[in-house]
Amino acid sequence: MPVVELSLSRLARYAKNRVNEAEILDSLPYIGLDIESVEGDSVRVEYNPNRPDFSSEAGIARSLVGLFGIETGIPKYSFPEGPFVIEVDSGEIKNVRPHIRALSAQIKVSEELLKQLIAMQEDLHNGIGKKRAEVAIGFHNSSVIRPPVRYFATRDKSFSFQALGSIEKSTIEDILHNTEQGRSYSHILSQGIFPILADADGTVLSMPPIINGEITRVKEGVESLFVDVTSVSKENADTTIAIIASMLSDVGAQVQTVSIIDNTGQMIKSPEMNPKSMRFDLDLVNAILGMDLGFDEAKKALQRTRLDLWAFEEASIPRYRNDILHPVDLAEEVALGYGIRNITPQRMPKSSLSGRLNPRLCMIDLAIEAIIGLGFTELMNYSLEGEFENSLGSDKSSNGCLKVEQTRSKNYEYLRSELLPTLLTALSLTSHEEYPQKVFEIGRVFKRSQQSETGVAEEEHIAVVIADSEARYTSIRSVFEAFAKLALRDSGRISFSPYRNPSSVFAPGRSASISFAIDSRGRSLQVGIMGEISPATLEKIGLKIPVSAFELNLEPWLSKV
Amino acid sequence: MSSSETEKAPLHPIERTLISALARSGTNPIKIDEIALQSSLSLDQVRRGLEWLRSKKLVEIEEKEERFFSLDIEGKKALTEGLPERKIVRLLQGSGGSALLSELASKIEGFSAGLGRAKQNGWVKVEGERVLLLSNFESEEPEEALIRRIGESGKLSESELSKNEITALQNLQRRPEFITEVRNKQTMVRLKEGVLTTISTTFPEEETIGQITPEVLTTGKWKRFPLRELDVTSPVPRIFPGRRHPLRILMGEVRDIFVSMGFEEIDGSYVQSSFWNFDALFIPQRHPARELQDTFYLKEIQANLDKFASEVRAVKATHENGGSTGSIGWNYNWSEDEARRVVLRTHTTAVTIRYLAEKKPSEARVFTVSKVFRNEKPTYKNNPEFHQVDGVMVSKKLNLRTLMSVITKFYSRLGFEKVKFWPTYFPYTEPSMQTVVYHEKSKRWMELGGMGVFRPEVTAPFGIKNPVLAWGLGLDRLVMLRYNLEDIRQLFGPNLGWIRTISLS
Repeated sequence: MPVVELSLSRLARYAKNRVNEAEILDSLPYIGLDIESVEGDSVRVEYNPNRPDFSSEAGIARSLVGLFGIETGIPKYSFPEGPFVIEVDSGEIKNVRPHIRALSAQIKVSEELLKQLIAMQEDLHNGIGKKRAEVAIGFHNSSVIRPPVRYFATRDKSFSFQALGSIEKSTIEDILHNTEQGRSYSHILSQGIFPILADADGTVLSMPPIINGEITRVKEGVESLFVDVTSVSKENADTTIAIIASMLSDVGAQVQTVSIIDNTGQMIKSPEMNPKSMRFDLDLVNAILGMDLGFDEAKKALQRTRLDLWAFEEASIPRYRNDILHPVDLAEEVALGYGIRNITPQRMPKSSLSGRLNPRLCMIDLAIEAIIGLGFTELMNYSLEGEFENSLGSDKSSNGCLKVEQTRSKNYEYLRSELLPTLLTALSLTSHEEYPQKVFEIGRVFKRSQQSETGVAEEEHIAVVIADSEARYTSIRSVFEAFAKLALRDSGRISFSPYRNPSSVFAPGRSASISFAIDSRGRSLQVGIMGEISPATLEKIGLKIPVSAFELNLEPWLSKV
Repeated sequence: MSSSETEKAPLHPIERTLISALARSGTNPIKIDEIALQSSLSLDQVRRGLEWLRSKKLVEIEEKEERFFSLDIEGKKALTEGLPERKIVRLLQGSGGSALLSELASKIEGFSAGLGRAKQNGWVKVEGERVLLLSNFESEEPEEALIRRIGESGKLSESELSKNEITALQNLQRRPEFITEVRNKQTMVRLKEGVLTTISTTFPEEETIGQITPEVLTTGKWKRFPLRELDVTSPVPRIFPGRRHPLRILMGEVRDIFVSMGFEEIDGSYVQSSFWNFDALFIPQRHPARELQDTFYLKEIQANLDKFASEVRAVKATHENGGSTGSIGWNYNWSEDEARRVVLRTHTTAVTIRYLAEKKPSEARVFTVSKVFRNEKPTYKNNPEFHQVDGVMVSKKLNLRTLMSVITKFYSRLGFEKVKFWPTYFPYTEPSMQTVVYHEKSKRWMELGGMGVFRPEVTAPFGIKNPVLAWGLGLDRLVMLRYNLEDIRQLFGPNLGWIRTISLS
């Protein structure tokens, strides 16, 4: 989750010093912020991605003062018309990044403000902007821009301008390949159409979403800003410019509108700050919250979250919010404004439903009970395994194994198809523990399957291992027979036959295949393998003690419960 | 037993064998497994015999625990490629001394840890979005030197490390998958001075009965010879019981709590289509949780959603424009191909939503306790696999306040008496809260789980009409709290020593 750094003393000033810093700290979680760290005056908070308006301290302060009842209702923003006009070209720009919004603002840019603007821009780029693919923001020094500004697209890679951080002009081709921004974001413009924002003199403000121009760069001490937001979605462009406009206005900037003339010649004023609306259903809100609020109480609560109620059935929502999708979203706003702390639990209604455990899992519990009674200790391993464990499996065909994409750790790359490889490998790392080591694991294994809707079938297996100087075929066979008798239905239908697969972990000739007869005509399923682990396997995993083991597929017994 | 009595007790044959084995190295300390080798006694016999000898003050025993360190995957990588901070320096050198943060981050694994160290070392500084190379970067930092040393010798024990190297080691251990640590206990034994000369006079040999055997009983030998006295205070061989994994025990408790509250247990597949794991829960297809770096997608396979054709239609419409749910939706083009990608489920809610979609109950209480997956590098606090419980309730008269009471009851049965609620965000619930509980032992509030009322965008496409309350929490952290584990990685895998001996009380 994104993080914002706050100053408690500045937040107290936003709250007109009517609440102290301790109360502020205490209240941050109640507007949905997670406190990550507190150091003196500075607090780092994480905010949820549904609230891009929390990407600045000012945005958070706006909600906080509402919760305290210091300023409530929709914040009033009305901006005078400024000198800037953007003409949107009628050409290909509509196919690549059609929407543009902008504002201009008078404010002296201090070091602190510059830091806050960059942090907010970064958060918005990554969040609502989906790493600039959907929204990109440019901050510019407006005093060097001569209106009108033109927004157009070019396919000409030899088009050149002075990009941010360069001392001379370079071509688009050059920027795409030789700047970090170009390499990081050029995939967004893979169509080969490049949006350009340039002023009346041809000075390039930016090539969104890749890089800004150098000439309009914002430095500390600049006294007026021009901000552009380009997007593939109108809604996101509107939300983003409203977030920036309200933030700048809250920190004291004189924000002015920019006239945008679109490709049909229609003109709109940006930023649009008029509230949006959503149907308000008091009965629905009361039903969800389990409360009995009247209209006025609900209205007061909504005002504390900086929303408002216009009429009985219409809530108004500031432009900088984009998370109110459905009338139910207003229930949470009411709860927040009412104060989560003031809402008390209500006894749950009586029910005739009775609880019960899952029969399959109960059968697994019985198996665990039986094997524990035989003296075995449960280990749990991961369902994902590395190349090494995977190579120990008895099915060596590589198209049989299931692999995940782009794992972050090579130890977790294959879905295991057997339990024994990981269990044995784990034991090789506990060779300093006293022997005998008698362990078991119950867990799922994974196989390809045409019948399954996901193409993967899951089976519940049990693996049981004895590592001891005395471990033999006989020792594990005795355990298996006792286990089968205790935990498996119709254990009399189990039979053994020699198992001689040289690529399995078991020693050929000293291991048995376990079968379960499924009908009277002698048809049977192979359900497991049991025996001594081969010296070659033990050497490979680094165990210097005899091991005997069995692995059994429990599905024939589970699927009938 | 007074010391004079001890001295008179005759020596057991095992003790005599041990003394002669020890005598071979004079009074120098030797390792316990070496004694076993030389005396042809079992390790258990050696241990027991040595305890008797110690109580007779004939030997000195010293227990030494040694920690050994070797390189884990990342450590091995750093050995050949350099640590992330070194990679940063090299990249910066190659790009004229400065680069964009985002570019470095995309090229270097473990970038943020590396950047932190590079800054501390004074190699680089960050200005805005750029990283600048400073001087001094030629000097080798202690971590690099240590990785080289461990790499050369394969494994180093704690006693071989200098003070500075230990600090470097601790730094490396904080970074995931650099160092593996194995603890090894070593028992050293030596004969006390002068034992050999006094032994024959102090401990005369006489025939006694050491063990009551069937033969001793049938021949009546016990009437002619005395039973040798045992030292009942000396240690005995350790044995270990068969037992459940501590997590299994907690899962059992959670299952009992749910059943006692009238809930039915359900179960489902670990492998799910994105449709059930994400789309059905109104998680938009461009949501960051769905990216490759957070979720395990299976290679080369696609789910078949044919049997859910009508559900797929309804979910598509809901995402795109709200469909018939009364929502405005997420306003994008929903792709069925994306929904067919196969994932290792990232939450157990994938199981509960499937149950609801299938049964469309007007009243229900169900839960599931099981494993989930996230594509994360294992660290002391995150594991790529962990466990969750998920509960849902469906009924006409349910609301946020009833949810609060169910949760309060649930957590109090788990042993958390103080619970509070903070608002939070999940794409599939509204309102959404996180549950914060007070942990008495550590005297602090901690976030433990999430809860909420399912959105109409989740329930309506499946024809579920009544309100659905849902909540979930992770279990692994609870197990860690209960047994004071500090590293979540110790919960699974090669931890037999811990599982065998951890006290459950």
